[in-house]
Amino acid sequence: MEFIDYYAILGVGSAADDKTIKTAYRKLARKYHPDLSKLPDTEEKFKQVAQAYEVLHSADKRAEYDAVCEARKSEFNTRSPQPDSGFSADSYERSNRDFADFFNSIFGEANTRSHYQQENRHEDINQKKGADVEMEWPIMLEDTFTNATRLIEFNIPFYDQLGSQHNIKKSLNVKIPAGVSDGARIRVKGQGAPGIGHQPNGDVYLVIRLIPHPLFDVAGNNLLLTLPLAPWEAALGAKIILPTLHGKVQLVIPPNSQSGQRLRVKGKGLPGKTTAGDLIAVLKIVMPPAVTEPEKTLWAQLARSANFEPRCEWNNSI
Amino acid sequence: MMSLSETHFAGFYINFDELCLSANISEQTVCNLIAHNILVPIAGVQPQQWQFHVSCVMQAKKALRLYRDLEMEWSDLALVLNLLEEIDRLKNENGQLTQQLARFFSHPL
Repeated sequence: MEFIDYYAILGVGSAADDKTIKTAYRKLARKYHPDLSKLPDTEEKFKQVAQAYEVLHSADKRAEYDAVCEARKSEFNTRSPQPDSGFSADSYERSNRDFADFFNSIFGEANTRSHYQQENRHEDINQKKGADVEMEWPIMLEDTFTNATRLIEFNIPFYDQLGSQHNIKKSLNVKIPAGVSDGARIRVKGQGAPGIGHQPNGDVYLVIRLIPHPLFDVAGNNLLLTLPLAPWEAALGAKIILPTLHGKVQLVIPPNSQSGQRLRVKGKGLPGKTTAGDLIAVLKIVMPPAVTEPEKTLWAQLARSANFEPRCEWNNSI
Repeated sequence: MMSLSETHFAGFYINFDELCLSANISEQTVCNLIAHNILVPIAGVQPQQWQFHVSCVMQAKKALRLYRDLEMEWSDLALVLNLLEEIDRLKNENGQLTQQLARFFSHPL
């Protein structure tokens, strides 16, 4: 078993006082806490930081750790501790199993549950509600219209009473509630990890993630559709057939339309709790990719006859 | 394992007792979270009438993890959670606007 230097993990020297240890812990906790950090593997790293703090901020445990380390250092394959270096890359690579084994070898199994793992209720580890599972659920925009049923497959890590890890493979058919929006959380009761003893199973919490659509963007219940127009369609007006999630509709483009202008098609967006959203066409004037000689003549004719200054807003600033 | 022929209905709301059980926290802790506006019941005046959105379970668990692991005060915790929520909202909005801009500036060449 490899010796684990809790002082090095917190980046403090072995003579550090309580305040220094607390400050170092808080700094690392802010960096690695899974609820605050978007860095990868933060949960594993935070558990190790929390275990180091659990030992070093308790006078009794710290004294026991110091005494045992002094006596047993030679038994471990000791590496040079690196005080002040913080949480070294080397220590990240050790698994939490190594940390748990090391911790147990000093403090015993009874103390295995770390600061991070403590819960407020059901302290009896033989009677514990199954762990909940939270996962993202990607669904198509079209699936939000009807109560469509989709298959979800996932693995649940499950620890038995002996602490051994098993994976339970789950396949569930889940009905997507109509009108559900991106980021919404829904619960499937009793489909999480099995309860221990006579406690209930955990639940599955699904966070809805709408899969990006090739044509439509989502803004609340509204759908945005970027609608490319030729310059003459914007100038003269046009009737355009638009795709929607409900089939095709005709949209009338008024004459003198501008790029960026928004035209609303009522009720053709996503379903809502009370009313459906709208489809909003965002006009985008697109120039033809190449201009032929006859077209050049026509543009030149337009330039001569049009009384248009596109940069008139600059006049007061130059 | 459940039979695949069975369809599971996803729920949105839970009551006070279910919240305590699901989040594995005491009634007093839930009341603390409500007092600091960290959890907000969507209906009900008395605890036994309270209804919560299911997202409150994960919100309560997250709040307790931060309260315990960072040794925070409840009032500070409420501020931190608000700011984290705001960061998520802004990131989401930024992603949507970036996507819209990309569509607007792309050319059919």
